[in-house]
Amino acid sequence: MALTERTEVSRREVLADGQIQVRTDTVIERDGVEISRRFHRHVVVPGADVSGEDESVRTVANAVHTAEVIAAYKAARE
Amino acid sequence: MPWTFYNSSGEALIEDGAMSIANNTNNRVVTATGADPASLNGEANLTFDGTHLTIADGNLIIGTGGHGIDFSAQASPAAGMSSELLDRYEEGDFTPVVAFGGSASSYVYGVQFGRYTRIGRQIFIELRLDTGGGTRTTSGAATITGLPFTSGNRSYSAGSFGYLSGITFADTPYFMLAAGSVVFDFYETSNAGTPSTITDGNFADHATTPFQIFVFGSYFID
Repeated sequence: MALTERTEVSRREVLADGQIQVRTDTVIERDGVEISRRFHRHVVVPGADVSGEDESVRTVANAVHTAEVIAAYKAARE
Repeated sequence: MPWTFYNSSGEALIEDGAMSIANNTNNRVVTATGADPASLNGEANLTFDGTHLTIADGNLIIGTGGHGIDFSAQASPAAGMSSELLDRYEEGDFTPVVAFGGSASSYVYGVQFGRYTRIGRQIFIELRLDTGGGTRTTSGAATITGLPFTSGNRSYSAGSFGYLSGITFADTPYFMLAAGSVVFDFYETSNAGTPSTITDGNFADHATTPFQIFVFGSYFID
């Protein structure tokens, strides 16, 4: 019997202002059969450091977080 | 007159007096196995008594996003009702962090716990932060970052702390969540009705006094 744990980004929800809601699933499998799945969420705002994000999230952020989007997001927060 | 059911290939499927459904009994929903179908089976865990459909064991799976449970047959919806479709449910964790002036301090948390439940467009959250080490290394307005969903663009939520320790305040402390935000901003309002921000200066350095924050609250998303 082999228990394994892996994580996968299952949701990348881009909001109108460029914020990206990310859901990361932690999946436990026994002999390759899923026995548990837990969700963890965080939000990546325009202008945030994405170096520690999953590659798929970085790809979305690099496409969405243009200078204009970042400027508009910061202006809306001020 | 004798009868026979044939499949699309012309093979006799059911003949008069020979019709059988495996595992069947009253009210079981019958499903087919095979394309033609090759066999019929009464589902022990799925029954319909003419009024109620019952799943004895297993989940009801909504296979396509945007669908769910439609309550539109309910009479007299409230004024302002915009939806009667329950199409989202989710529960999970998030990682709350105390930040000052928009930057996290170098606290080490003994307990750093956040969990959420989403029902439709409402998010319920519970969080707890206990410092176990580290120190305050940033300054400015106090916030909790890391919320699981961005608040709605028309939302402006506020709530009270369930428990605070190691944080000073003169009046009534509370937090606010601005529209389109994932940050709880700390405020206090004086007895005279004047609000002001709670800052790093209100927080004890862990070296002298650990702080604890418990929150249970909810907010709306779009």
